[in-house]
Amino acid sequence: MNLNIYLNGVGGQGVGVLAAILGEALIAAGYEIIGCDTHGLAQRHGSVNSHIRVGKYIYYPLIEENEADFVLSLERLEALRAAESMLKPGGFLLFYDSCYQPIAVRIGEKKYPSLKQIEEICAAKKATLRRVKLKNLKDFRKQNIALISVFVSLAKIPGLTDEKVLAAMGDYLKYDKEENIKIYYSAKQY
Amino acid sequence: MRKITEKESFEAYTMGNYAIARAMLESKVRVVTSYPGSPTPEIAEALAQVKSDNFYFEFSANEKVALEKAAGASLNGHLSCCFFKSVGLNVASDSLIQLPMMRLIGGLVVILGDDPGANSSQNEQDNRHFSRMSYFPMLEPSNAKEAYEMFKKSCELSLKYQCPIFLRITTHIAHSRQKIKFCELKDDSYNWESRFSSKNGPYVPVASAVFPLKERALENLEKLKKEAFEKGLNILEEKSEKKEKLIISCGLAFSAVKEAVEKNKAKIDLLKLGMTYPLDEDSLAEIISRYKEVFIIEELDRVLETEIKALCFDRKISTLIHSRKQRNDLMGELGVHRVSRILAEVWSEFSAPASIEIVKTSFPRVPQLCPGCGHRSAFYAIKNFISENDITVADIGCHTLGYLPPYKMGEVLFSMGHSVSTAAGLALKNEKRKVIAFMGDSTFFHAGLPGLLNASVLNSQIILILLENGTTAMTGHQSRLGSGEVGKSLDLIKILEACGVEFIRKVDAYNRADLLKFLKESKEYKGFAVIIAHHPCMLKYTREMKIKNPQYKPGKVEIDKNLCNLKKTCIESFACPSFALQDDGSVVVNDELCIGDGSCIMSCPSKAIKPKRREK
Repeated sequence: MNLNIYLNGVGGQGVGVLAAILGEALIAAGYEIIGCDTHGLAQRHGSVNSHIRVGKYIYYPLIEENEADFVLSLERLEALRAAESMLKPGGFLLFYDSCYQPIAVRIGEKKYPSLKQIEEICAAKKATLRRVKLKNLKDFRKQNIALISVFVSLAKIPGLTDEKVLAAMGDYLKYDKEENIKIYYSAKQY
Repeated sequence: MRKITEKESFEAYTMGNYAIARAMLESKVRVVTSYPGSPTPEIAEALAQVKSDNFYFEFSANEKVALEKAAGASLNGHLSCCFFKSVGLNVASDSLIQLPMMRLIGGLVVILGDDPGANSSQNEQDNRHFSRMSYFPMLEPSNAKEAYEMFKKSCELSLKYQCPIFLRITTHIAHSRQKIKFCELKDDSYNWESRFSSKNGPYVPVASAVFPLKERALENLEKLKKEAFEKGLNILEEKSEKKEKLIISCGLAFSAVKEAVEKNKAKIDLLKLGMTYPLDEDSLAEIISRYKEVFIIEELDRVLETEIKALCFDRKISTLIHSRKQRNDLMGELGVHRVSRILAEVWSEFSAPASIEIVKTSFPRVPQLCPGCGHRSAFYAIKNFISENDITVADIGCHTLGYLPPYKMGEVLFSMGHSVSTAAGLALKNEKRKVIAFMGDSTFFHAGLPGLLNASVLNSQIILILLENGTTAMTGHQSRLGSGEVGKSLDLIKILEACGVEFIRKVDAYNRADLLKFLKESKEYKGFAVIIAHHPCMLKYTREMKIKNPQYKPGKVEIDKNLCNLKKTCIESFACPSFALQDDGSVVVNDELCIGDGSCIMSCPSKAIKPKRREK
């Protein structure tokens, strides 16, 4: 099985941690993977992305345009961007519907995208779209936990179980362990 | 991930930079120096775990200082390593170019973090040219696992030939993650005895003394090239039966080539060059002459192509050599799609990936200064002070982001520390237009000092705004020389005074009134004026607070709707990312981003921004 998982969001949202947890869990499930993160300049509230490539005959760490089987996005404009450029026709876009207005929106030059814009791209690419937003999630840095929880349920990647993801989470998220587990399971009911 | 200092052998899903750090420990590197710059700083992040008297690390003032310190340690017999980003090599080059002529008895590996695609650099310079200019051998891994292995081989070669070796990685090797099996760390004790002796030299290349040293460098290259295949650095992957077509590649581009070949199910042989300088010409000539056609795929400049074509000409090899046709392909990274398209332009085994026609409505999200950043407060004040005719000169650091809307300040940028001298040049015989230069404090110590001295002594008619945040923020808060975090604490004002600067003012960047007052004074001042606009990096501050107390919750500000009359100064001119525009045109504070620093409060003409009461 060859699989490309593209993750993106805004600097500070925890895209890198999300990718690291998912990567570790996939390895624990027995997959061969190559991943790659963006570091440096992009972290100052710019667009941030991570790539995970699963499969035996994969050598290059970055996913090519329109080749992501799954897109996991932590923000609406970033979800739109990834849907347009990275999502494979027939792929799956899962996004946490948070909103971080870029400067162009704040100064009134551009309009922040509507859900419809994402729906239209997914329709054009015959892709599946799922939006996640938890009502009672106060800490925005835990949106990535909700997203990965829903991803595990929906993606049905053989061997990628809640236990493996939670074990990987334990390694990366040092604080609030109980709270994280609670959010993880509450997102399941979503 | 487990610690890189674990003794036993273990397997980890880890980043190239972390794997390199582990390789340093396995190779028993004693001294590591650096100046922070993407894509390399995570090597230091990993090395921070090492607590041993047998190991020394420092972030030096700049890349040249870092390299000299590592080279000096090597002259003493200690295996040393220096790493920095692509353009850091320009800074280091004055000493670097000498090193292959010197007998470095301890060994020295220089890791170059090149940045094809200019992901976080001011250019995408191809540092393979530097190898050729300085007779500096170069190894290039094609993925993170190879970076780990090749670092160790670099150490072996450096020790064997007592010459420096380049390990050239690129951004997406440094930051790619793979499962890598690490070897055991052997028990360690080390004698730091100084083993320097001029008998190992000579080390002073003056006039005719240069030639025996240069001869040594050239001789080393001849010996080294024979190791390329023997050491498994160059590898020929044979798949075809007929031996008609071969692709030669190196670095990350090789990984793209390999995947493109598999994807297109092409029966084509691959030659990976791990040692890209010196080229093993004899073996290369022999391999190439077996094939009818060879395609050279490399990222950035035509380095391998030029040398291989010359080799084939010299050896009268009739193999047809193909290479990238389009000028555009000399720019940016070569991914699998791009490589497929380049190959498909010549070879029918490959097909160019189909493009998808779709109307895109997304727009870029440009990086921003963080909430609470002192640079924002400074830019906001300066923006109100300067006239349209004035010239502003940027430098490198977080404050470079000031050139973006809405501040649009800092209109020229060359390199680290250039701003004072470039500004001085712009001010020369220029009475009419005021010239204002910006510089961060890490950059000031890195390469800003000579320019500053020049401007001070010759009394250039410019204003220098030193944006002091006490750290090297952009690359991840590495300690800034003289900040007191490591070593002595230095007083910027005393340094400026000692440099002869007569107009010095210091102000907290949040203090708009005083900053404006000093700007006015400096504009009237005849001569070189320096204003230090300081405020600690608030990203660093809030992170440190959270580490100290995981329950730490920063304060917030809020907008009093009764007072707000929608002038929008806060969101459009001050432009902290914490402000958000509502559909009805009103402005709110995004509590997820606001840190309650209050630097925005003064921006509101209606005094509607107020500290928010803490929730109980």
